[in-house]
Amino acid sequence: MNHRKLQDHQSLRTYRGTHRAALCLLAWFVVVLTVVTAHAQQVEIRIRHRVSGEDLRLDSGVYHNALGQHFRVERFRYYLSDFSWVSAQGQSTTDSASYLVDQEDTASMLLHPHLPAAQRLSALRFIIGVDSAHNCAGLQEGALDPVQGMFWAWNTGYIFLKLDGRSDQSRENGSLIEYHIGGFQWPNNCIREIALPFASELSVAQNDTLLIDVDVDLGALFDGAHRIDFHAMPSVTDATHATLIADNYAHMIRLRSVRVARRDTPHEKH
Amino acid sequence: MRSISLTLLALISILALLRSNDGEFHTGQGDTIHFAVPQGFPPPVYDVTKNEPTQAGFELGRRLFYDPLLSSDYLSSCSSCHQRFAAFAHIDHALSHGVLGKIGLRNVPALQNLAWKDAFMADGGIRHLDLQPIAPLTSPIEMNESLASVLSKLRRDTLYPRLFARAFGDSTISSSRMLKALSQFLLMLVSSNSRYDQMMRGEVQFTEQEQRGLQLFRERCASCHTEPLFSDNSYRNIHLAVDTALRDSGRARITTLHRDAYRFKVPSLRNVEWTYPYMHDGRFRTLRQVMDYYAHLDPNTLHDADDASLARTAGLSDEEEQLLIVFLKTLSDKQFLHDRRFDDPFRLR
Repeated sequence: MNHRKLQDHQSLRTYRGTHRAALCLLAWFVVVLTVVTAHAQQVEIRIRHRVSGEDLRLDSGVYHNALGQHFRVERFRYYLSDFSWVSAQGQSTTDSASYLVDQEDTASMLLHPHLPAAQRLSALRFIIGVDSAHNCAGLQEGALDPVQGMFWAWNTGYIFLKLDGRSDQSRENGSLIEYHIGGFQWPNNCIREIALPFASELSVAQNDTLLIDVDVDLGALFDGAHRIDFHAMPSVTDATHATLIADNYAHMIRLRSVRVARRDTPHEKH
Repeated sequence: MRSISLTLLALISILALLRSNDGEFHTGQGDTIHFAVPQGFPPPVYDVTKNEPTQAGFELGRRLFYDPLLSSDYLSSCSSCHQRFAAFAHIDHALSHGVLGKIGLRNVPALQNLAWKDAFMADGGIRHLDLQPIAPLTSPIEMNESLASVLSKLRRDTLYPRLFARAFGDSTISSSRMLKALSQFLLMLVSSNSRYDQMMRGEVQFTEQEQRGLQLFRERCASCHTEPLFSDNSYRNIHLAVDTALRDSGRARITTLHRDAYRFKVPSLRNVEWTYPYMHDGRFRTLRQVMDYYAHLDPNTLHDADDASLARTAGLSDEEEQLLIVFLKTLSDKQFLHDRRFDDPFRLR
């Protein structure tokens, strides 16, 4: 091994690193200034997972599907992406990011998508899943890092939704039920568009926070367009029946409330 | 005093350069890593500007490629199945091998000119080179690992954090950095100096037999094995009898479409002399067997659009088969097969 050479490399790196750090700091200031001056309004989407009229409890909660078959949930996670806002000016995709919502991670159930400059808003739109561009884009980090375990390696693309649990009706080993749903290409496209219209138009001014409460009903996964029988279909982990579950999860999200929290004292002091 | 320290510094630098030849960090004198599009090749599919191979990135990728640390039993590396001297295919193994002696579904493909491929695996299920290594890493019948576990092994290693720092500026080890380094190594596996390439560049002349073989190849084979990469990147069903034990439906596993059943990606024929056995399941041991298969296809049983190309190979005479093999051997690239830059860094140490 060559320590001397490595040290030379490292001292060069440190020198370059100082410059890079200074540039990063400068860039950070520019970003902060832009955000403070242009987009002070914020959004907070609060997600609640519900099933059979109560809050989801992993492992301990026992629920039943429309056929009366009991089940427990051990893991529930999914992607929401491409948040956009409908306003009088039309619809604009303002945030092409993907958010991984995970019952085990309470922080992941608070979303802060980007909200464009103040305007009158009439609906929120997004997709369940990951759009085809992000499915084909190669390596990604953060929520879409393959290390998150929401990625298929042999048929590359994201798993949009994972529900793992158990049901006595299941014929699988350990009575497992597993629904790993994904696919962005015809005829197995599992991306579903969601629109949540507001009861009345809302105007969000600078320094306001738009608070949106959303309920996600797990029961809807197994009922609706297709009634899922845990005995006949205990697991869906490839494209074959994925669209059946996707057609169901298209109706799992409901808007509970939306309001604008106004802030009377602005940040700037003059 | 100052001149003494300068002399000392110079001496140390020379020593450092000499010591750097031990394979741990460098295998050659100075930087030898530069990705270039060979003369006559189309523009690459891979966007090299997003992950330009560097000496440090290439060496990190090469080390990862040869390191059995990446498998669950610490015994299998990428190079266990991808042998350098076989253009990174697996000589004499019909199907891939994995941890605990497990046997996979398909023949190990050669790794060469990967920057020009739009999808990977015989079924094209992998849509980006950077994502390709995740499949063998996480397959329970190959390296049987998880990305998270591989990353934590690398983070605990004494050397890897420093190698990541050299390649990427700091010692953070992430999935995207690991996979980008692997891609940098894989992108450099360019084969473009076979006798065929030298002939195309006007550096050598084919013998009469080679020339007749090329002519025949262009008439009979080139509609799928298109020059200069010797694959058109399409998926084709060449009517091989279905192996009832493997039940491999090929492209249909990815698309779920009936029309894609038993279609497999057209492989490149570069270095085909050394990538035996042949076909997606390695059923043919020799080029002669492959030629025989194509020669004896019955044109009356071929119907769909794929088959129009396939019908051209029917009825090859023994002499024609021999000429085609003579030509195929001109696709062997000794420079590529013997390139020291691609050698196992653990063996050199």
